[in-house]
Amino acid sequence: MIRVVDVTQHYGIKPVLKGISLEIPQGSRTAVIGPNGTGKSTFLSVLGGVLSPQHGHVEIDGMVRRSSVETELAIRKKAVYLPDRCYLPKNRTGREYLLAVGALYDIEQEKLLEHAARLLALFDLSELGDSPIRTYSAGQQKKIALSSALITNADVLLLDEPFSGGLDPAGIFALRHVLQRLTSEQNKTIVLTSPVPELVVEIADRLLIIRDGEVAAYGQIDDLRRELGAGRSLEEMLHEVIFPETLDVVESYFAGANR
Amino acid sequence: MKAPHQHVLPPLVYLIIAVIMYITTVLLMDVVTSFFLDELELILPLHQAGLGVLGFITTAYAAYRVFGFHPLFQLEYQDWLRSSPWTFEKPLPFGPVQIVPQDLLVVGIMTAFSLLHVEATPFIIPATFLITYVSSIACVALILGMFRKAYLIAFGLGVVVYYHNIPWLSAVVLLGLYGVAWQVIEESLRKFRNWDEEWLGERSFLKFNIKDAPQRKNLGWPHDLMAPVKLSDSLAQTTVVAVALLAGWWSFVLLDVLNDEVYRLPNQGNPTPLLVGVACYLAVFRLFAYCGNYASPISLPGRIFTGRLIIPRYDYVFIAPAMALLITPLLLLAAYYWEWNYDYVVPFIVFVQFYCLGQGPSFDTWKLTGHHRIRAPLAARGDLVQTQ
Repeated sequence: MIRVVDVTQHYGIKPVLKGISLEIPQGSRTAVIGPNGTGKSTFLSVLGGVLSPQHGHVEIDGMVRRSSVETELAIRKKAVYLPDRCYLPKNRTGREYLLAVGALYDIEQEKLLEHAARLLALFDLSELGDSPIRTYSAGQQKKIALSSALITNADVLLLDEPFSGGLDPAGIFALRHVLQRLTSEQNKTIVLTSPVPELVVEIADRLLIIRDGEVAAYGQIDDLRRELGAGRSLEEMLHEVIFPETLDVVESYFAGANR
Repeated sequence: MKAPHQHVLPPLVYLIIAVIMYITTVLLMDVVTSFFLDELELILPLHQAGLGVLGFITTAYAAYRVFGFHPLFQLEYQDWLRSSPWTFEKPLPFGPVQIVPQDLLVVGIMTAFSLLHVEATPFIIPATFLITYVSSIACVALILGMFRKAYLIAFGLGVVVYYHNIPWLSAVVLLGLYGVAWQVIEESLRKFRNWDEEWLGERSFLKFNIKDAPQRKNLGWPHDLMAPVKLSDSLAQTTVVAVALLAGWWSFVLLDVLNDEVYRLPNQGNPTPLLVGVACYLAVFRLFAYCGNYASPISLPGRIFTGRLIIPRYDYVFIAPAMALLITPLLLLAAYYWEWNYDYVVPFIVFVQFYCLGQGPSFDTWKLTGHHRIRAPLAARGDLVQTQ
């Protein structure tokens, strides 16, 4: 379980996250959604240990992030963070890269080789697996980055915008199914972000909506639908919560054109 | 199979290059000095160039005798030895690491050539050979965890340099250090099959000839910085004091040599800034190493406007390098004011600087528990590609 306790984060003067407290149960798929620049990535970076919040803390399975060397090492083994933009070693092959990442997590060599082959097949990279990463297209590089998170076998996956970065429809389809089955069959916890609600509502069982650095809504999708929806579709309800001014802005845009 | 002592010479092409290098230098310097002697001699001791080349060749040969023959530095050789029935009692198949009669012959020939130069003494070339040889063996000791022997060699070499004006004493110490080096070689080969392979595998300079093995480094962002990998334990205070003492001792030795009339270069300035400057560079280097990918959690304007001028769990990274940097002018001022002897003050400053630099936090403690913001590596890094 992930526990976020009164987290406030700011880089400069303006807080990006303001006193966020919540619990993410084990085996859940939580989608963090919200407009650009509202703190989704910052929130995931705090969960991932990239940022140390100015107030509050994050616990993963009862261990507080950055509280001691041993604790942080144990958390890093348990929870893997993948940013939206990764830097990959361009001269290594995809397979070498996956094996090297897996080795960091002390996974047995035989299992690692077999898992790397399965991941390459999953994302249709088997043929390219032994070519240098620099020869991959943008989408293929994104697939290798995602595979590097999956090969760690970590219990908690913190994925920042996993569906962006040029992923093709087949890749999106594969990733959605993989994430769903990782939680349902292996009880893994997944937290992912996306600026586009439609992409993630199908696979998530919980939604966290962040607006202006605060929790606008959080809970299981069914509960949120009951709480906020009242007869409307989930998409309509989300658009209203996440982008309340957008329809007004569109109206005023066309009103200006008709004048 | 040839006897081991017949294997120690480098390939013929290197010997030819060495001979050509020496002859060319001597002839060239003869020509140059015959035309521009007075002007150039004021700047550079050109007449010693031939002797310098001999010293360089001797150094290269001594290093080759260790790095080219000890299986620690030859991974393919090491793998092959592991799969062979070789044991410590048998001679190494590609030649011994220990000094053999053929080495004495090589050093003897070099010494004979050195005596053609008026400034040379019979001590210079053998001493150069032995100093390089035992220094290289100290690397073996360091890599394989024989820290006390490595330390003893490093300290003893200082004694050799300090007493260079008393050749017999330096020679005795050098022979004693060769005894230590011998023990290091014996012990390292005796424990050959127990070398910590994983530990060695982590050392990139030992991995240059492993082609297919997945390497654990340079995996980009996030795995280079976010993986559950411990780099090293904190330094024990005894280690910090020992290393600081060694640094102080060597600065004392170098100060003595640099101030010696015999070795003083024309227009040579005061060597003090050079010696105390090394630790200052180290302090700055440490700061970059610690803070390069680990930025302050709040920007400077953020600190000012939020009133959080000091962030204890981040700012403690500055204490050790700041102490190392601040202690220098303070002690130099004190020495000037109270007229302390600089020959002792400078080594003491270096000792204190290194002691400060050895203080925490350890890199692991900082990396894993510091109150920082982890930054992705620079996009300009040539071996990485950024996903979109």
